[in-house]
Amino acid sequence: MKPLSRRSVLQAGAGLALAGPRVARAQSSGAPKRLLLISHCHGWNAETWKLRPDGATDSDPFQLDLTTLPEADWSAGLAPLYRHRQHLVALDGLTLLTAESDGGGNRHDRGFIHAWTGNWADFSGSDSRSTSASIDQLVAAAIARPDRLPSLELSVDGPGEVGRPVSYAASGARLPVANTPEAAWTRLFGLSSSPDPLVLRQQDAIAAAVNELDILGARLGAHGQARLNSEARHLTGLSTRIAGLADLSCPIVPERVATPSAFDDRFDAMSDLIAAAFACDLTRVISLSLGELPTADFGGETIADDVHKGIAHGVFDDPAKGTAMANYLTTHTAQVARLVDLLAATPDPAGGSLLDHTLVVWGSELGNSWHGYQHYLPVLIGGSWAFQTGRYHHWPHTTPAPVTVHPSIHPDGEVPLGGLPHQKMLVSVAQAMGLSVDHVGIPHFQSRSGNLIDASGTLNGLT
Amino acid sequence: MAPVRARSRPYLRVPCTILYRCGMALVFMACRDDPAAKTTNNEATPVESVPTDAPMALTPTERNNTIRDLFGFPSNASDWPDPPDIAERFSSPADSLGGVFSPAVQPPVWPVELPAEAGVHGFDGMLDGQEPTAYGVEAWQQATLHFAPYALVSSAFWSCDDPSDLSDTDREACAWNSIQRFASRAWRRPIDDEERERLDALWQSQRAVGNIEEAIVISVSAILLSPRFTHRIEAGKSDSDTGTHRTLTALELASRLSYALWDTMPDSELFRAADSGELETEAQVRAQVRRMLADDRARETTARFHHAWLGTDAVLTISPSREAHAARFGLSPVPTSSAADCDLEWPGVVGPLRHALYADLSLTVIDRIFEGPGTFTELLTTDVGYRASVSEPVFGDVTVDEEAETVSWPYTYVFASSPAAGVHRMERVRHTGTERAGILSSPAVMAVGAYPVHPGPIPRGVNILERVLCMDLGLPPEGAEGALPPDLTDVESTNRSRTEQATASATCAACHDRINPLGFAFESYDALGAWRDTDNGLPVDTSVEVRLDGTLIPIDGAAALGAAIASSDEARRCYALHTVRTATGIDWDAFDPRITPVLDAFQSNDHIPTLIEDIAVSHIFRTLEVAEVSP
Repeated sequence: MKPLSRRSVLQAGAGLALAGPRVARAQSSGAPKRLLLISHCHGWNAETWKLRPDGATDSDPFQLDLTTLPEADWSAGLAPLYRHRQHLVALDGLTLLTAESDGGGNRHDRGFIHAWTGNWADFSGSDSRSTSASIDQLVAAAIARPDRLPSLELSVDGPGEVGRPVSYAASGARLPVANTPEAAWTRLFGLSSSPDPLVLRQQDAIAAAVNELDILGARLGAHGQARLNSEARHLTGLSTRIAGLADLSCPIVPERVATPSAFDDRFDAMSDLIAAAFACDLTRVISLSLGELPTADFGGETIADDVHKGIAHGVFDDPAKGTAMANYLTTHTAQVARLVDLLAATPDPAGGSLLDHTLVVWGSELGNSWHGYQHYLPVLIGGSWAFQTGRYHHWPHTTPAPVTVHPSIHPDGEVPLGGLPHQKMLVSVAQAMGLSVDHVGIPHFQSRSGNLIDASGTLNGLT
Repeated sequence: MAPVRARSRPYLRVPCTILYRCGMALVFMACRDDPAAKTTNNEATPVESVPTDAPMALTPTERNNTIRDLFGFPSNASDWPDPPDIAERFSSPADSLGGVFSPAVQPPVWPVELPAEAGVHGFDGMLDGQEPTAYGVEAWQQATLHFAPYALVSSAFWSCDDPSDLSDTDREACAWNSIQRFASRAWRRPIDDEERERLDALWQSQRAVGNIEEAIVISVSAILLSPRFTHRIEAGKSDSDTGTHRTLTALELASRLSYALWDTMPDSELFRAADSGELETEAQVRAQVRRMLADDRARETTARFHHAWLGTDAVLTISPSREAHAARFGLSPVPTSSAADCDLEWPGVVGPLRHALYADLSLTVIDRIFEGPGTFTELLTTDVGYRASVSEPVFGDVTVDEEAETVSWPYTYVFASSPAAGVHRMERVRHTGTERAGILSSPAVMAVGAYPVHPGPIPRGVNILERVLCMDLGLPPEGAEGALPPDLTDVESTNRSRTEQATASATCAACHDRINPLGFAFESYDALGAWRDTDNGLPVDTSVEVRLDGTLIPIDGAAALGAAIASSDEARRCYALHTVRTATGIDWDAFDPRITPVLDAFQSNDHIPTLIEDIAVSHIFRTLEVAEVSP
């Protein structure tokens, strides 16, 4: 934890000072809004991530002005994002409370589902499921261009992985990912570069079906006709998308590269594709799932060759493992900073940069790498049309909901208070992207101590 | 028989549905969906017209089943033939599911995942719950591309033997004949000349730019995307038009029967009967219904209906508290590993248990309807059940039926991030004494009406009122959830007394005086449905007074309540009403005189197969309400 000077404190409870906000508002334009969701594994190392002004404790609510906070006062975990400080909204005080109340599966699986859908998990089949769509899919349903991909699901895999989806369809099914830059390139530019004529000919089948719907609809009463017309419109939209992707003309088409072997290189290749997809308006919603970093990428190879059980589970028992996971997280921060560099440097055809019209939501499936759900520390980047950026928000953990912790934190293995339900962040994101919702996933629930917890509404102070 | 997956999660975990808006409910109780009220006040009830001008869409289950039967493939997807190479061209091999915590999961080739319908009263296949969505349409379009290549390896598709041995010319002719035949079967009636012309135009255009296999795949995709596949198109016999109704053609009636009873297309015998004029008289229709009810497909549909009726699909997602229930299964109340680690013991019990409870209700319903008396009374009073080894601690003392064969029930679930599979050996058992009687006290129903720690008398009571007695309770008042008793293991009173205290105010009592007694009668069953004599050290009190058919009746316990409900007119009419609604897809009002004869008959004869026959030969099932067609 990094102690900070009082001059950095913007707005404080418990006697801390109040200062004027610095708001980086995007210039009003007709540019489309975009959402990029980034999800890494194993949560945060809170001690090397959190910012605390002098005298402030975990019990104090406060906001910090990141734009005036000296670089030397930044925590090691956040430091790589210092150069994007004016675009940041760091959130400190949330917990995946509903995941704590859920059962079944394991805590990683539950965490992924709750983190991005805000809803209960379903483990009754052969694959993990949600009970509603993830936030990216909710947004895609509202803002997608009809002639483009509604959303793009990507992953950068760790060793031995084959893609870790974090997006869930409305049915609860996990959405498959393009897990290599080659696969992502094919999804984005394949139809327009070397289309398989057979794939394009599915439009003929759709056209035939639309014709049948039209003929049949004309013979029905108003109710039936409206229903078949609706189905025909949806099918026509599909055909429009196939045609749109085939006829795509995009000035920024990255070279199709063979999948690099290094995680960092694959991350950067995916970043190039993300920037190109946004710049060409190929899609307006992307989720990027980051698999487990190889131990050598963050200096953990001297401890174990297995991040999950060899290092992540030892953060409270072995200082070396705690340090390794802090480095693991900082490595991700550096990657995210590079991706934001690219978004900030890439012109938006509508004016300004891509970052001016993009909201990046960076989260994880856990609060910490020993399966804890508390101290969930996501970051919002961009979204300046909706949020006052350049802020660090802290809300104390005062929600009366017991949270499971490691015995080194509390001998009972449980603390009675949790943070704010993270669903409030999802609601803030949804509203920023133009959705009129007051909850995402679970609106309220009963904690294991019997308290009714309100998970609806937005986070206070973001706008 | 394949287990059916859950999609909904009523009552559990989200307490906002627990306490009910009392004033509104009283109004509804007095004048809306109360079948008993209908029996005394027929004339005063206004009748709304039912819009039947929109065709019914096939449900996700019906679409999958119909595809299977069109291709003549088995229900076990692992026995399907490998898809031809052309299938690869529609899928991206780089797409994947899995990760460091999850081994790659390949979805089965059948059934495909399709978005669930919004549904009405918990049932799919209801006209008012079938609005098209972009996601649903896209999912089906993708499904057609997934399935269409299988036509090439389906002997049921090809109209000729060994097409690969034919000359190009003969193979071309065979392919075109096969397309026409496939369209007729997929659309459940002969294609007309105009349809054939349009199909031919598509076929010719595809042959002009591609080979025969490609043309078949695109044509089959178009046939499956057509509304004539995705919907049941009914025009009726033009010469039967009365100005308000038309009689369905024999083929239209065959489709109604097959989807109502089997969730799939007609079989060859039903098509034959329709084609040969043997589906015209009431006796002929009844004979077909009896034949169809003897088929396994009717059993699957019947089980699905009862899970939808009682909301027990949700048993596949129950989340009982380890602390409260683990001891029953020989586990410690807390995980033996670190508290911060994942619990790998309790999920290993709960995962298989969910499926065992689901299977119990499925098999009991099938047993009692198809192998037993077949009455509503039997369903609600039977002592038969089906037990798996994992559910033994829940079932308690039972007598195993040694003469009955065990039933294999395969299941899958996610365990520690990995797909796990097993097979329950379901033993047919009889519950001893009066500990359990009827499906209303089955563990699945009890577990759905419960919280992680304690049973839920309010959701159990609401379940009976809304699903079994067809009362519309409306929504709970704002903030009512805050009054719910905390679901804690450490309590100082009984579940019943805490619930009474929470609902004691005059505002709540108006409804909860009706809800709570129905729930309290089940207090002898804990949150998993296991029998209990005491609650928090005190004797369980299941003595209540419940109102049935307008009369207040003293009841003690679930067995007595099941028997009372079984003989209640309003419960029988409600069951018949649900059956009529799902058979027709129309959300009939309970008071509609067009369905009264069916409800009246079931109220007196109590026999479920007869109810299905009566619906099948009824005017509403065999006719089409003529819509006003726009000029």
